[in-house]
Amino acid sequence: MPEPTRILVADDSETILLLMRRRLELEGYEVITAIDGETAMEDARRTGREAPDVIMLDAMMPGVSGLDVLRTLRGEGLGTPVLIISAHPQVREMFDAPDLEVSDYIAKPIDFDELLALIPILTAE
Amino acid sequence: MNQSLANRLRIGFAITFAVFAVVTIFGVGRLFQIRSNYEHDVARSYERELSVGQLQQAFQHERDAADLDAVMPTGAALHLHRAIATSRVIANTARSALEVDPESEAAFALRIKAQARWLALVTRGLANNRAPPLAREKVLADAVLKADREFAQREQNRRAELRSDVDGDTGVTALLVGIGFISGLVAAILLVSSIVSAVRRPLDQLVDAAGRLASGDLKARVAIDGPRETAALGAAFNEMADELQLAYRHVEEGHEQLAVTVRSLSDGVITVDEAGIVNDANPAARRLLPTVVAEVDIRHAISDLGSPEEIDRILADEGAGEISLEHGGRTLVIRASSLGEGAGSVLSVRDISERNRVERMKDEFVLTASHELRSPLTSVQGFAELLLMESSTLTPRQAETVEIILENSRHLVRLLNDLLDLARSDAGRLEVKPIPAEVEPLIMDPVRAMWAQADSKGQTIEVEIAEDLPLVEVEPDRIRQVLVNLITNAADYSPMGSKIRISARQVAERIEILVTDNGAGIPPEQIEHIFDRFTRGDAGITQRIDGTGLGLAISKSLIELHGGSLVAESAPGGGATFRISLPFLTEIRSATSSPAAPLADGRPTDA
Repeated sequence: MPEPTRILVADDSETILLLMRRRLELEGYEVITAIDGETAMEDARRTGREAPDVIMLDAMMPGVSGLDVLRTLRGEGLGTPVLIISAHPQVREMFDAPDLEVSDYIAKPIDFDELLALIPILTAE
Repeated sequence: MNQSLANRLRIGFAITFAVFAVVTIFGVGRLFQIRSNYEHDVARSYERELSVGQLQQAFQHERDAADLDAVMPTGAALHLHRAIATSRVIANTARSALEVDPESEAAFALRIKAQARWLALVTRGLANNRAPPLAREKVLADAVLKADREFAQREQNRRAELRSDVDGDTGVTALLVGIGFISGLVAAILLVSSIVSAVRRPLDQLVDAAGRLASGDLKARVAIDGPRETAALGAAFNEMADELQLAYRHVEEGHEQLAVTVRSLSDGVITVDEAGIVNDANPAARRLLPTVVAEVDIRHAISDLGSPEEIDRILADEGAGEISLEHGGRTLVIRASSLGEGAGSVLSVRDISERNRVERMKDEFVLTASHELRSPLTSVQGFAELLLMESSTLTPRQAETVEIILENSRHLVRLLNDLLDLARSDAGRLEVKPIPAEVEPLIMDPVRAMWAQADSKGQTIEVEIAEDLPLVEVEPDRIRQVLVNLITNAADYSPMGSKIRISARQVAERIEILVTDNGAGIPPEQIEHIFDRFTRGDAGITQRIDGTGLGLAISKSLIELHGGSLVAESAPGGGATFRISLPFLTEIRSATSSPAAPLADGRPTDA
């Protein structure tokens, strides 16, 4: 039995985190949630069995923002595929830097059909 | 006092005429009377004188008959008797002329008595048949003759007296008539002068009041008196002056109200003459543009803010143009309107900084709000979907309820997307990133997406795209968004089993894309508002139709951002046609076909 794909979801909303966990677990994924940027960074740095295969990052988080998280992680040489989730269309421009290596963007409200279709593509890379 | 002038004149002339008539009649009558009396008296006098003359002749006859010198013949007595008879007849005739004249009667009686004395003497002699004493007879006869002479003299005197009397009377009468005429004339002159003065005083007043009125004394009035005519004139003048005063007051009040209004305006108002010299500026204008004061040239006053040519341009444009100035951190918009030929212009100065700021705040608010709503919406939609995925544990009724929640949250998302687009469009931040694109996929992608929905209503979508169409330079997602919107509308507003036609062709220098349905059409009174926000068709139909009322407004904005146009055409009952007209690229005709750029936000399009 293969290891289930592990997904780290970072969002400042408990509700969103609960929704993501329920939905993604229903689809057979293993879900790690982070309520803020710092927790997200810690979780992203996990290694081995604990290491996330895909990171879904909310662009707008109070404190350490999604952009800060990604910049730090990429600076540390982390290559995990990252999906940016945002309500703001301008986010695309914010993250539009080659070294950030953003895999794709998902707008809120989240279209789960689209999201679920993206995960296998990201993990295959 | 209020007799009319005409009546006064009539009465005056009647009185004068009556005076003259009375005087004339009296004078003429009196003169006639005097003359007639005089002639009568003179005639009587002559008559008496003549009678006495005849008596004298008769007396001579008697004397001759008496033949005193001769011897008394027998025939003498006979002659005498005959003469006496004649004398008596004459005396009787004479006496009749003496009636009502006692003086003459007395004189006559004396004369008759004298003759009687003579006759007695003569008769006595005759009776004695001897001649009477001649001396005595001569004395008596002389007495008779003397009485006759005296009588005649008396009558002559009397006539002279009568003549003098009549002259006197005539003179008096003439004097009276003269006095009468003069009094009449004086009365007439007095009347005329009284009328003249009666008219003159009110007329003088009128002239004076009219002069004062003309020189601006609106309180000038006249006393209403004098003849009816001048009184009427005065009343009319006063009424006119009242009206003038009232009208003037209205004008003044209007002017004052206008002045207060202009003073209290928060917009600046500057009046300039034809040459551009400032006449006046309201407080707002002085506050916004402190350099603009009376009697300076407006072009110089704001030359450091905008070019004088710009001002000249809007002054010449008669209100067609406007200029925008940045001054002291404020954005001012200046518009000009001509006040009429040669009357200069009025410039309005509006400070739009605050409006701009509020607009920006509103846009920010809408943008923020629509973003903040997205997270909770994600939860609502996501959990509803989760619930539905466990539908095996749900009753059909519960499943239906969840479907409704889902459908409504999707609607909310569409509404949010539309609002966001509109807010961006208003803020000038709705941008399109055009790339050269082929027409065919632009149309076919949304058509395929709509197929299922149309099919569920038994509707068919017919597509007709002309071959070899040139490329258009558009943001494909946006054009798809518009087409999805138009096709959704066509499907929603058309009955079951109807046909929706989509065609594309080249018309002159543009590409036209037509979306036509054969639904109920758009009533003429609605077609001009069809692109307004929150405007939807007939309420009875639209209640059943799930739309935001923003789709067409956004579609129009989007097409116009591409340099194109979107118009609606319809005949009620004859369906509706939406015509998109886009410019096409003339340089690149084939080459890079790059359809389907990645979804802008990855968010669902408006369908």
